[in-house]
Amino acid sequence: MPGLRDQVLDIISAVLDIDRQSITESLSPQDLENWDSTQHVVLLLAIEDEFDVTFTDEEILRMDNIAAIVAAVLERKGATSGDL
Amino acid sequence: MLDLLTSSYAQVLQAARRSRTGSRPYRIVIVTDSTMSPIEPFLTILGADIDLEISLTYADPATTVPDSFAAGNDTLKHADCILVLLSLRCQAPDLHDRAAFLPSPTRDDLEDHVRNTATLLLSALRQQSSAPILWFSFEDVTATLTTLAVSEPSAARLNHFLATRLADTGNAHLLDFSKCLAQTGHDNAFDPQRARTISVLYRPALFREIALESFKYIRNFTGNTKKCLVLDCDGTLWGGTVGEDGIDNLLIGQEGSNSPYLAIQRTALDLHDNGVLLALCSKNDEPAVWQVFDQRPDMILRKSHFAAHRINWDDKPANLRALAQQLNIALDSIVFVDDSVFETSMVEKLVPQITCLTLDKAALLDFRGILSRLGWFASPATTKDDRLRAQSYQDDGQRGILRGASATLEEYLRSLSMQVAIVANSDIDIDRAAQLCRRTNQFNLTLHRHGADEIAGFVAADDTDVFMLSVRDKVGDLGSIGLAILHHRHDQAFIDTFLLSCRAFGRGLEDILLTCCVDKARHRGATRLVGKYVPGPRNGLVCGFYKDRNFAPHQDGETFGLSPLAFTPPDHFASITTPSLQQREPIGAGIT
Repeated sequence: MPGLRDQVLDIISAVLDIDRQSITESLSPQDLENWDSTQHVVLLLAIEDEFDVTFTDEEILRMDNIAAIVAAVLERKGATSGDL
Repeated sequence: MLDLLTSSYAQVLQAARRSRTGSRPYRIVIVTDSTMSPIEPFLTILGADIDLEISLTYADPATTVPDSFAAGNDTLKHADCILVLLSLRCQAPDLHDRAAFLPSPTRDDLEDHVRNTATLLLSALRQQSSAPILWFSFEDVTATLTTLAVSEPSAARLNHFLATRLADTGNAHLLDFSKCLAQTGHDNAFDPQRARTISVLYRPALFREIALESFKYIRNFTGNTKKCLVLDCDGTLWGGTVGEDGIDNLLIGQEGSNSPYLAIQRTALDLHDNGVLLALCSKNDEPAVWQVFDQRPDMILRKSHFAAHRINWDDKPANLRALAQQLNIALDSIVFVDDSVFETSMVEKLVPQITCLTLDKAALLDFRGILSRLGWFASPATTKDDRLRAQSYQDDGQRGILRGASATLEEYLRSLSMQVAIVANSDIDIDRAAQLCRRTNQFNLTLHRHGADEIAGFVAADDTDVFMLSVRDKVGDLGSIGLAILHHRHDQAFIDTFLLSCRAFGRGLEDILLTCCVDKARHRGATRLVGKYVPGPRNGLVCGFYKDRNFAPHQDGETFGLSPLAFTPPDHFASITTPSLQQREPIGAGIT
């Protein structure tokens, strides 16, 4: 069973069409041409659907790079970084 | 494809990324007042399944209506299909949220506003594109707070209006949004929070249904409806194994019982009655299988419902290829159903053109529902020829015996005593003509997929002739199986469409139809008859059609010209009835 972090990264990889290896903690919409607002929406929907969560507006505003997205999911699912 | 119905959105996104890209570009313009981009992975996967590379463009109805598109924007001009999804939430929020509390004049005003928007949008779209339009109906809004009485919602009135308008427009279809909603359920369909912040009104589950519903039409527009359902026997038509359990112990079910096998048989029979071919492909001793059909009174399906069968111990990929050859249909028009993953995955691997459905528990229990959602066999209208089709394949067995008894092909064709009839223009069955355009992929020179509206236009036009050919022989009636559309322009005639159903190959019927075109062209004073061959995925069979008939190639390599006098038809037909040449004036008469 893959960890939460792996599952999130798999989704990011599929939505943004990048290899898992190229995903870094600090990667953000500024770094990727196809990480536009449209794909950002798709990414959010996919994560919410997969983990059965609905993020608040404040959470979404904070989710502007890979580390923040992973952290938001972990926080909601009650996991700590020890589970990674 | 079954995965698409059950996968999570993340899985669908991953599958879309992995899916092979189709080889034919297909451009969809989505006209919408909300964010629709989450639909992309569904459309990508559905497109790849029929070899289409989907590209999506979004258009805002608010800017489409005035003139931004007219002003040199090519988006609509190059569209292969236009999908329209407007929401009452955006178009008239008060109508959506609190219709029950509005004074009726206000409500009427709002409804009028929506009608006007739709009318303007529709005419703007049609002005700029002749592509098919798929317009989703408005969602039913019935929320009330203080009354329990049932009243007709605004959406129903507006949808009725839309249906009429779209029917008048031609090649425009109203798709049932409520059906998509019913499949997902309200709470899985809407996302109030996202609607407020990023204008995504729907959840992925609803986008899935919208994509599936749209593709039922797109499959038709691109000639990709399925024609044949091939069924396994043990574990598919009945529970248990003939060889192991014995005929009497198979689980089928009495009429009226809720056995899933009965439901599958009933579904197959309904498909058969609407023109889908049925075939059997089973690893069994053949006599044992027919004994089940003969001896079990609870069998709904009969041997006579099957156009072909392969019941033996050979591998299924080989048997399926043989079935396709016998029925003369393309592999990709076949759906194969088997309860064994071993069999379906072997077929998927070795004959990837065939669509497989593994009858797992979910599929077994809701076979009809799943076929309905996937819409493989759906088409806009059924015709009387649909019922003839299955019988006609059955008759082919009888014809095979005649062929065996004849020394030459010529002798065989004469022995059939074929009676050919060609009707023209207002005498043709327009729905059947459109269906032939949609379904015919092999003997089809130009692959023009004309809809019923376009064909009605051709029939009405003075400078176009539409011919439909039907044939019956001493074995049976094949129905209307040939179509030609001829445009007359000054002293030339152009063959826009020329096609023959695969059931009618090898009889020389194409030459009768071509002769009809030649005669008509000559009668109207044409000095040249121009035919065109447009290569497609499956019409390689006819690439030499015009060349073989003394048409001279043009420089562009695709069109061929012939003096209308230089052609002789075959003479092995018992009778040929053609339309009177006097029906219309020669084209030269009125044109300057």
